[in-house]
Amino acid sequence: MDHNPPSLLATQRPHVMRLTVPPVIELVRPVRLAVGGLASTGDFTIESVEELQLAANELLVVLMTVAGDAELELQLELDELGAFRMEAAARRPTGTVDDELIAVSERILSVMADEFRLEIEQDLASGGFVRHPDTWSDEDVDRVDTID
Amino acid sequence: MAAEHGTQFVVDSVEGASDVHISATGELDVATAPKLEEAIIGAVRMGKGVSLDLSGIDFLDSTGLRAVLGGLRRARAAEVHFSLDQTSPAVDRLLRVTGLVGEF
Repeated sequence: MDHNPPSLLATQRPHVMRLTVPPVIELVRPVRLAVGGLASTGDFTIESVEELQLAANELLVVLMTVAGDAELELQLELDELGAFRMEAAARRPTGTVDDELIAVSERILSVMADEFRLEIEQDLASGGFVRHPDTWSDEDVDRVDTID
Repeated sequence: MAAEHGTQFVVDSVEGASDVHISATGELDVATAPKLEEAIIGAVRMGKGVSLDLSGIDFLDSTGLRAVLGGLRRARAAEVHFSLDQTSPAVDRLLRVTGLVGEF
């Protein structure tokens, strides 16, 4: 039996915050606060920080609902170019897929993030988003990799 | 009547002749939405209308919005009044993003 499985979100990038979050809805707010704290060290306005917190909240709520009893792995990062990235995943999700909730959350993510993904499969539920700094030009945006 | 969730969320209900005025302050999210839902359901079950004041909400997510929409549906089913009388920038933002401005 594998007691110490490899991370679902392995990355070689430095300055990445990694969190393991049990499926407890009261922990959504602390994650929002962590997102706000990290984003506020970057090149984002107060309004953009709030929008990032909302995007993170939606990703977390959807994955927590789908995850059921499964823990979530999270990664939060201000990358080398200043973009905010969040990735989240739950292994072997046991919860419910609420299509109405997912539709609303996807709508919110599409507005609050520059890119997002949400993938719900039998063995893995995962998602992520990227938001570029407010000061970026279109040229800056073109330099950035898309999310995996 | 007040219901608290930690220090982040408070719901107050004041019963009037035909409506219950429900005001909520703090962060309305997946953890706190059931408190608001409970207050709305309580009012509708009494046969009262609901006038909702969300001017004190400084964070609203999809689950909080669903609680409000659920209240609207219950009120319509019970044929009682339901109105969202006051909002905050956080509430306005989510209504705008989800295309629900004017729904209430």
